[in-house]
Amino acid sequence: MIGKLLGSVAGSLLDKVGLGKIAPFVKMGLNAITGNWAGVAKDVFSLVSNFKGNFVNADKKPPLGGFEKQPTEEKASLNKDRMSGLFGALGKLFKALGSFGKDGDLMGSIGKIFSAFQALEETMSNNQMINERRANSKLAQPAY
Amino acid sequence: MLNKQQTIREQLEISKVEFTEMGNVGAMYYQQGNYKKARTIFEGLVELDPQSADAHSALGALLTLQQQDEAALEHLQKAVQLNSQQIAPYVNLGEIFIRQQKIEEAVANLKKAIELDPDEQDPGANRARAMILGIYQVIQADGKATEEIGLESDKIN
Repeated sequence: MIGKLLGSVAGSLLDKVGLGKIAPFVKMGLNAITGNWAGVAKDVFSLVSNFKGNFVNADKKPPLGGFEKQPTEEKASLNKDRMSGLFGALGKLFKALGSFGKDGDLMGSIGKIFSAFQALEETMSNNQMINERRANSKLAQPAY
Repeated sequence: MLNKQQTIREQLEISKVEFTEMGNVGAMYYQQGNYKKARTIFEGLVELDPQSADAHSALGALLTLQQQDEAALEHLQKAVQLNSQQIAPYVNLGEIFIRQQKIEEAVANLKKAIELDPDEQDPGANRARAMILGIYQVIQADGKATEEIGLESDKIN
């Protein structure tokens, strides 16, 4: 019942940013407010009343933050070789931890870092392969 | 090699530029919908540098998407604590608080996100605005709003 009601009210707008499913929670949450209803309504009104834009460029998923921004202009330094070097350094750190006695939290951290490095190295390898294929296909093209 | 004062990122001599490049790879997987790989990378980055607001923000966003709200809250609040000028964590905190039916907390966080984007250009802040308008529409439907806003024609595309 609530879902149906909201489908015609807030669903259309929330759907646009991939949040149609949370519409029922808005309704239930508003019903749960025990304090100053007018204050909340005023706050919300003041936030939207001056909005001049539209939602064409609104994120459709939860925004990540800084990592979504364009990379810096500095030359990219991550590649397969660098990742191999980092694996080596991580291995040394792991061994050093062993000689100091096992710290469970730190070992868990290193495990997660190792998994992340694996995913990154795989990506670098794929990128390198794609770039090499592109270069080879350009070389294979007849010169005009 | 072991120095408890340093983050593991520093111990491995990973520059901030390289760290951001790693985050960009995670963001690429996130945008492609490969959440498993994105999560593996973001979790690793949080361990590499627990003082990185970007890493906590990214992992918190992914956990928000996966509706693992308690874990997401922890990372998003840490991200805000490390850098209070980032828009994304406030937007995602707003979403979680809506899901938890804590509308006042949701509005407070969405308000911060919107205030950090006065030019109305940030896609994350515009997501916050959409959520706020969604809340307002429900308030209007309940007859609890005192003023009318012309939403349908000029603000919803």
